[in-house]
Amino acid sequence: MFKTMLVEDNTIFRESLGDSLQLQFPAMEIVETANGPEALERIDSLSPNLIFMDIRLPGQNGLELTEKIKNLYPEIIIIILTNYDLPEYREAAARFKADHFLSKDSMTHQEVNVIVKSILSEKGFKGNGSERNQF
Amino acid sequence: MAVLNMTFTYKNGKPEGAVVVAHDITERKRAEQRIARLTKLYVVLSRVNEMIVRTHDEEVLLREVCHIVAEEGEFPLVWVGQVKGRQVKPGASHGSAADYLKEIKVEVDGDLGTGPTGTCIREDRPVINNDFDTNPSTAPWREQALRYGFRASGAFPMHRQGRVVGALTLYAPNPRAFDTEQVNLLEALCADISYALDAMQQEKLRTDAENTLRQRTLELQQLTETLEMRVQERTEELAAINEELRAENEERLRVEIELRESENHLRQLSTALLSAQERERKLIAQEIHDSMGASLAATKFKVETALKEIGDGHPPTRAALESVIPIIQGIMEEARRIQMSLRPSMLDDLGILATINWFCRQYESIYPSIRIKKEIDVQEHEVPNSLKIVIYRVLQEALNNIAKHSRASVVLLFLRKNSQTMELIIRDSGQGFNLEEAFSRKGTARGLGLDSMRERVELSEGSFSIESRKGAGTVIRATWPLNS
Repeated sequence: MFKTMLVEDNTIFRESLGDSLQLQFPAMEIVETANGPEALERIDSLSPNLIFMDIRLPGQNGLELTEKIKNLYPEIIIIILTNYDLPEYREAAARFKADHFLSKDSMTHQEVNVIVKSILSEKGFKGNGSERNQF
Repeated sequence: MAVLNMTFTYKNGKPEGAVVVAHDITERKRAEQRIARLTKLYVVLSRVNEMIVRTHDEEVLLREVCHIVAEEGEFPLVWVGQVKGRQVKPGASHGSAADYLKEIKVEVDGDLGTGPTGTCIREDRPVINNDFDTNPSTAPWREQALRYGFRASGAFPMHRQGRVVGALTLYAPNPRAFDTEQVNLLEALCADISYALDAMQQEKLRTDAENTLRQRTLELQQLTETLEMRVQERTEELAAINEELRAENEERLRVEIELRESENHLRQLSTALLSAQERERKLIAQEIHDSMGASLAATKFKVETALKEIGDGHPPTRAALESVIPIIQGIMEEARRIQMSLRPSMLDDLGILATINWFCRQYESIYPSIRIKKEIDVQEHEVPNSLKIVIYRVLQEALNNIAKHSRASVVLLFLRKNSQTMELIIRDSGQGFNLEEAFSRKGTARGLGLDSMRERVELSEGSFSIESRKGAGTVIRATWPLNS
C-alpha cells in the first residue's frame, strides 16, 4: 500500500489536504503529523513512500528536516509546501533535496493529483494508490 | 735707721774738730717706701682699669689682673681663687712663686678655711695676714709659705652681682706688708674687677640675648619664608585643583547637556517611532478592511447564496462556485503582501541572502529606473542570526530613501566579512544631500530613516556611518564586530 505522510502544523490545511488525497486515492494510507520530531519518529515504522512537508514547522525548518530525511531514506519522495511561489523558495527546496515544490497559494486539486499520480506511476502503484500486483 | 751727718772743722787748714750730728731717718724711709708701694699700686690700678676697658674675655681679664698686680706690684704670687663647692680653686695666677699653689689647698670653711682667702670669701671682707710666722690662723700653710718666702698675705673678695664668688689673694715677702691705704686700694681694685666681671656677664648675656634674638629673628624669617613658600605652593596646588574641578565641572556639564540632548533626541525618536507605528497599523487595518474584509464578505455572500439555492432545490451552477476561487486567491495574495511588508517570512524560512535577493528583485520591479549591483561575499551560515533582521531593515530603509530622494540610477550593495567584522555598504550614484542640514532638522522634519537605521545598528553592537555630499551620492556603512 502506498503510504503518504503529511507534516503540517496547521490542522485545517492538513486535514483538508488529507481528505482531498483520500478522496482522490482511496487505497492510499495517509498519516498526519504536526511537527518534525513526531514525523522523524514515525518514519521508521511507517516507511512512507511520499511526504508532504510544510516549510515552516514549530521549532524546526521543514527544509532542514527534508534534507535529513532524504539523507536517511533517499527513496522517500518529498514535496515541499510553502505559502510563496517564489524563485528563492523553489531554489531552496531543490538545494535541500526535495523532489517537488508546491505553493499553498496557488496549488489546485488538479495540480496535486497530477504530481501524486506521476509519483505513483513512477513507484509502480496504481492510479488509486493501490499496488499493481494486487490485480 | 740713722743717718750720720758729720761736719769737720778746720782752723788754719788744719782740722780742728768735727761735729757729728746724727739723724734718725727710719720714719722717713718708711714713709718713702709706703709712698713707693702706693704709687705702684696706683699704677697697678690704672693698668688694670685700662685692661678692663680693652678686654671682654673673663679668663683673659683674670689672667692679666694677676699678671699686672704681680709684676707691677712686685708681689711674688697673685691668684684669683674661685669657689667650687667647698673648695677654692685657682682660676688664674701669676708670680715667681706660682708653684706654691700646687702644694696647698684652700677651702671655704673648716680647717682649711681659716686662712685669709677662706675667711675673706666666707665673711665677704678683706682679710690681711700680717705674718705667716706668727699668725695662728695660717698654720695649715705656714711651712710652705715660709719656704716660698712669703711673710704676709691679703685676700680681697670678688663679687658677681653682689655675691662673693672668689677672692684675689696676694703674697708679700715682708711681714705687715699691707697697710690700710693699700688695703683700700686693693679693695677698690677688686670692686673694679667685680664690676668688670658683672659688666662682661651683662655684655655676654646681652650679646647672647642679641644672638639668640638674631637667631630667632633669622629662624622666624626663614620660617616666614618657608611659610610663604608653603602658602604659595599650597595656593598653587589649590589653584590647580580648582582648575581641575572647574574642568571636571565643565566636562560634567557638557556631558549632562549631551545626555539631555541625547535624551531629547531619543524621546523625539521614540515619539516619532510610536506615531510611525500607529500610522502603519492604521494603514494595515485599512488595507485589511478595504480589500480582505470586502473580499471575505463577498465570498461569504456567494457561498450563502449557493447554499440557499441548494436548499431551494436549485443547485448552483459550477461557474457560480468557481467564481469564489479567484476572490479567495486575491485575499490570500493580499494577506501575503501585508505579511511580507510587515516581516518577510522568507528571512526566517530561507535566510538573509535569499531575502536580499527577493527584496532587490521586488525593488527593481517597482523602481525600474534603478539597478542594484550586489556583491555578496558571505555564506548564509556566516551571518549571525541576530544580525539578519538588522541587515534587512537597514537595506530596506536605505533603498527606500534612495528611491524617494536620490534620483540614483545605480546602487552598489556590498555584504562582506573578514575575520573580525561583518560589513554592509550601500552606495548610490544619486544627488546626495547635506548631512548637517539633515541632522539639524528637528522633530518630524528630520524623518525617521537615518535615526532608525543608526539605532538598529548600534543596538546590535555595530557602528553606523553615513557619508553624503550634494552631487556626490551617498554611502551608508554598517559594521558589526564578529565574535569568534
